[in-house]
Amino acid sequence: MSKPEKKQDVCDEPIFYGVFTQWAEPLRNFLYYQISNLAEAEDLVQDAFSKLWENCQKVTPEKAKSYLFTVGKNLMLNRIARNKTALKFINTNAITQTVNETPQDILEQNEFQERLESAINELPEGQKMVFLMNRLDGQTYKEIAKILDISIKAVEKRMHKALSSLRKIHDKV
Amino acid sequence: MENQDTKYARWLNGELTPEEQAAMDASGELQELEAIKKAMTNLRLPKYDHDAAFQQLKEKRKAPPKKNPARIRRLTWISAAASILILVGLFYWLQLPKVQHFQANNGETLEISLPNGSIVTLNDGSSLQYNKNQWQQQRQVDLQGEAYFDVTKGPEFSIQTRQGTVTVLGTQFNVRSREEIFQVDCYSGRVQVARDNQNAILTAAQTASWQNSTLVTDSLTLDRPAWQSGLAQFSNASLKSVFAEFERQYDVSIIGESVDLSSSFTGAFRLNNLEQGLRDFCTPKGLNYQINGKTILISPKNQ
Repeated sequence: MSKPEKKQDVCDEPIFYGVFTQWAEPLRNFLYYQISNLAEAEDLVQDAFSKLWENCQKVTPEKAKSYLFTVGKNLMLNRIARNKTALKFINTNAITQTVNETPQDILEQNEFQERLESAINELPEGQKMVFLMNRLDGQTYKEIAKILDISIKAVEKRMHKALSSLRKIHDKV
Repeated sequence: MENQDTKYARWLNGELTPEEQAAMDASGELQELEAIKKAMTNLRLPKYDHDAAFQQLKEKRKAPPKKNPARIRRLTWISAAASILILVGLFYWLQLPKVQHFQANNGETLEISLPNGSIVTLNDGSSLQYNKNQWQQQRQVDLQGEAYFDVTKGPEFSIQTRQGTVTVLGTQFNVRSREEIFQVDCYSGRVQVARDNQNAILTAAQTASWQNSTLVTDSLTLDRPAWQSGLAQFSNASLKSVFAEFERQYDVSIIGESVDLSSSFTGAFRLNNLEQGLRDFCTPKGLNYQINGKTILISPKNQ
């Protein structure tokens, strides 16, 4: 049997919603890593998805991710204000501490966690993005390479450099 | 050795050779990297509110452009394409969310935008649903629990609870429908409350509650619901419903030992500190409490 001519696009509401739930958050994070402004990153996500909706006929569900990240990147570059404040993380460790840890343990852990956060913020942007996209958003080196438009080897090099810098926080104890 | 400049990246992916692995173990690098990897699992970015963001997006975006009718040209395609379209259409039609459901879990509140621009803030352990397809004909939501409503002006808007119905025309008010408590506080505009053939029309700064099978109206002292200022407030409520509210707010379970659950309480407890919150109602009621993790044992003092 022959297939129908038209490939599936993302104009159907449930498909569009599926794409949204899958990629809105990683996209927001990707933008946040670069502009350090959560509200603005979320606005850009809205704009990127509006664009996707306008062009939904031209985009298949498989292509939606790369479309969104490309549009998001361009929208971001068009913004004039690029403030360089530190990224803010939520430390879940502070919430889920177990009872059998001594106050000393907790103090040391929190201090380590704080040093790690500021060390991440001091990483060069390219390394920081690769590191966080992999560690926090679970994107593979291959996926990151595609979004950043660099080779997998380059992603691995950035990852290695990022980890080498982060390792130094052990020295400061 | 080759590929030294990607070693750590490959380690993360578990792609190191046994020799590389052994060398890193011996040099202590591995332990340091493991500590970083572990610490990273504790880090999160601020939560992304998918539902609110998608709702916002839907309000902004336009309807998709019309599909090009010239796409299906040859007759032979039509039957094949049509049957597939029908199947796909049926599949998605069955999945299409007609009833929108929102749930605020214990310990959290949830802000919802309704299609007419009205805003509902759900208190914790509460849920709200409405039929999206019927919204144009009937602005009606079903509420279980407690919520604060900021309704924009427009056609009649009604809230069904298990106990009674609240009907409004653009206003701000709070509906509490928990256990035996049914209470509506009106902060601005006019609200009509109905239960068991009894009716009350509330204007700003009035409250209506169900007491001994009668709908009683009274004046309000606060200019917004107590729970939005970090307090859970009660007037003539049974200890049973105070316990239940406490369990929802703090996500704990309370065991009352020889406590008269029907004894009434007027006052409030704090929502930001478990132990202070407990004291807020235990002290005036002459009760003792004992915290064992997620379980709280409450008993009369003189035992």
